[in-house]
Amino acid sequence: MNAAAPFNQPGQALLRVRGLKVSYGDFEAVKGVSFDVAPGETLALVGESGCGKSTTAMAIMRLLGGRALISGEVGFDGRNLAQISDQDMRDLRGNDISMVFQDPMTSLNPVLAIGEQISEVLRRHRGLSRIEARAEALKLLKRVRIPNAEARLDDFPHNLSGGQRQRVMIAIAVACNPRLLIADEPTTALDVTVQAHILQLLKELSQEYAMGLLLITHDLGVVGQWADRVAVMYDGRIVEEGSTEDIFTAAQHPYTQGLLGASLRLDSDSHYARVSLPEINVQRGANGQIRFDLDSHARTVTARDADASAQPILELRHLSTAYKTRQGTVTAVRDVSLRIATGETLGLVGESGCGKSTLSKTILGLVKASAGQVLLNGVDIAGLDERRLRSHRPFVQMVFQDPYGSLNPKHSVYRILDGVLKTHGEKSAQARSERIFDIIHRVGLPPSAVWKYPHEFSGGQRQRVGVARALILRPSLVILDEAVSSLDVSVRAQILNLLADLKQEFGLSYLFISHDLSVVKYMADRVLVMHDGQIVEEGGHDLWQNARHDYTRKLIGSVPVPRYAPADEESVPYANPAWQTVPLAVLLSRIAI
Amino acid sequence: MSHSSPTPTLERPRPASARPATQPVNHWRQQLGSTLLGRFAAKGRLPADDSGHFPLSEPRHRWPVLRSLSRSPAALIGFSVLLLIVIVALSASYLYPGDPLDMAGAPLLTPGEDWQFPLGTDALGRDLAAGLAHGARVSLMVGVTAALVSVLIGTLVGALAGYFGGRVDRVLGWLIELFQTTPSFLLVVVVVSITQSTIGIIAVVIGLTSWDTVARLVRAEFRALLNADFVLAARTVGYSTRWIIFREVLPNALPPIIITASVIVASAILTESSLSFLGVGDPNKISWGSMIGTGRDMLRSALYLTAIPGIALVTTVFCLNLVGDALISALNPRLRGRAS
Repeated sequence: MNAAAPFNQPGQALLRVRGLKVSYGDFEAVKGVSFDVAPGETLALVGESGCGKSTTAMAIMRLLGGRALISGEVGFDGRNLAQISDQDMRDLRGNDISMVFQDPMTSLNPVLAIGEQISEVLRRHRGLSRIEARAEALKLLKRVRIPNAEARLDDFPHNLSGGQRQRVMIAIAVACNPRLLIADEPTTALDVTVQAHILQLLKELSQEYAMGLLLITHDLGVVGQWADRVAVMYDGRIVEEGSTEDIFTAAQHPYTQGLLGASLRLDSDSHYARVSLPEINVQRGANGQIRFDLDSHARTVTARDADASAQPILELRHLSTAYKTRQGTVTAVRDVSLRIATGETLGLVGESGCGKSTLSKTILGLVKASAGQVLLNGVDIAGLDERRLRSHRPFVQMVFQDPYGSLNPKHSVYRILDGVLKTHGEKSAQARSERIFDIIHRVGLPPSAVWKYPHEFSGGQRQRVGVARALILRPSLVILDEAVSSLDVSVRAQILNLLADLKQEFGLSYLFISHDLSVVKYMADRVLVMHDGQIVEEGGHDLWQNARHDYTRKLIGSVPVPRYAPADEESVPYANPAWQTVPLAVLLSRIAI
Repeated sequence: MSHSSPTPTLERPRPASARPATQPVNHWRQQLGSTLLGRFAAKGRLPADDSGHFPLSEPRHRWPVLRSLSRSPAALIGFSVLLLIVIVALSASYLYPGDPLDMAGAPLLTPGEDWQFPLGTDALGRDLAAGLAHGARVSLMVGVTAALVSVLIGTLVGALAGYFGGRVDRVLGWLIELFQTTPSFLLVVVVVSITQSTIGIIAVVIGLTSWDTVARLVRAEFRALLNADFVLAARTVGYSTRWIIFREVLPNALPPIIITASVIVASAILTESSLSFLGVGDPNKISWGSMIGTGRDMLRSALYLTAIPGIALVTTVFCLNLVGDALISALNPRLRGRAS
């Protein structure tokens, strides 16, 4: 696609990829991808999991295993990287092209001091002596702004935080002044406040050294804030490529439009009560042609005013939870008090380790509270043993983060749901069966899904099964602990729509826990901000504009917000000009229903 | 499955009973077809699509594990050979009536020398074939009993230690370590010499001394699986401890248990043979182990005396392993569909 992009004269391109294909046996992971990266430019390769974006990066670096068949042209510095010898490629790697990976926890060697690990690269590629390399390593650590770098040189990876480890990885990557840096989801495993700093650093380094940056990510917020140009990938192909401004203000391809619509922005004012998120419907024709439709429906939820006098479904009073570890007692939740009213969605935001998961486990009695009360429908369940807790269980259920880990791989969906009903005293097999098919229908799965095993579903479908398990007991409160965090943007939109629809249908209350502020903003009626085990701020929908606490402000300020907004700020489907490019398809699909 | 499921509409879903239970037109044809074609027609009985009719019970196959096993050639071979050995063991008294320890013919006939004794005779003129058949009884009994006893105790102890952790884990951990550090063969010898050396007691005692391996494995599996989200989900639903241990966690911890069990069968058969060799075994029963033990003296002059019962032992253990492997894939829904 766009072989002759106007802003890229052939002579200027640093990396020139033409018709790159990667296949594993019969499976074609990358189906002919072409793009350019100019010096000092940031190209973002965006797409959802399985679209082939990481494979593209690995193919450029020739890091794929022997089974992968690579064809096409990867021009770098007048040479075709797909053709040169392994020895030449090894010299190029780390020297002229380097890479930063997603997980800073596993990409550093845990038994070597970080100074050692940086020096190693310098000695290998730049031929420095041990002493020179150490001095250079110190400079690099300062360059990537590790505080107190002198003292850190002899630290081991486990002494550093996740963000600091990623900085060390970047230091290693830029140690030899590479001309191209490939960053594969560099901030996905990091907290949002750390993410902003890392991306800032990458951008600065890229401009300082006139280094081309190939940024691979699924996060459109990151793209919109940091990239110069964007290439959107789907199913091994680049479906659209253009400047960031063009993509964000006037996307042409329906898939791009769908992604933009489905990804929530902190600066837009959309809320579940007013509008549903657009869903991308992909249809594969018989001849392999792929058609994209956008589907969206308006939603009207009468905003419930939380009635302060009515009894809340859940009330926490001065709840604390402490863990005993070898180092002593760690208080994960400190004196937390909150109320959730009927039909309300309470959002809880915080970074990893702030205690939000411990809080949800304490509410469910999976972890014993060390002090305070958990009032469920007015009854304190904090001190109850498992047997007495069982009668309260149907009222609170939970949807877990990882749709792969939260379903027993050995049980069919029917058995998973049947066991829940059996435990809670549904004796008749006929009644159980009816309720199972009913809930499966309501979460939008076909009836035949009940006979399948978890591995036969996609991530989004599994999460629907997780929702079905939580709802089959007809709870009044559902705890959603990072329930959409591991899902792709388009799947996330579907699940959020489903949750919003089910909430209305069943009159549910949600405790929506997430680290993602834009998702919480969309879903929540009221928001709590948690930091270091405590609730630091509470607010309604106006919290996003008028945060008072420093931490909340810092959190909101760190969220990547695209520099460009679609022409119509309020993203109302159909009224938005961007949607009008596919009205016929949407119309037809409406009529068909 | 379609890649994107439709958004649920807010219409009331039809209750399951309101849908036609079966399609009346095709009903008799389906019945006839499945009667004639039996299990082979399973695919044809799948509901055609997701609209309308669907079965209330699992449609694909009632015995997925057995079906999967029956499709695996390794399991079929393993099963048939084991079955043959079991049949020979059970019918030993009919095939070779009389005491296999009695002298039957000339001593040291090599296999094939005299067709009355196809596998030959040993130094005392005992029929090797009769010994093999009668010995299969004892050896299989010892192996299977010991494996059952050790898997039962080991799984229980390991599951409790792994599930409850803390103090329970510490106490049971000590118990496991105690058995691990005691030389188990010595323990068997001591127990057997105190009590009677009947074959039943020997089998149980061997089982009692070899459960520590199973317990250690199960404990480790449980520790790892307890933090899995699906176990947390099971606790959230309010499942009882027993249910979580036996229905949620244990099926996921089975593969190492099955493998270890087949190894225990082999080592129990060998332990019994060592006991016979030391003279503390059951002197009135012939076993493969004791045959190997007595043949060992003439290893250089009459190799077949050790080789024949040895081959029987290796074949049995190998077949157990084949079946164990196939069982592991059959119990795993992800691997079940694949031809192994």
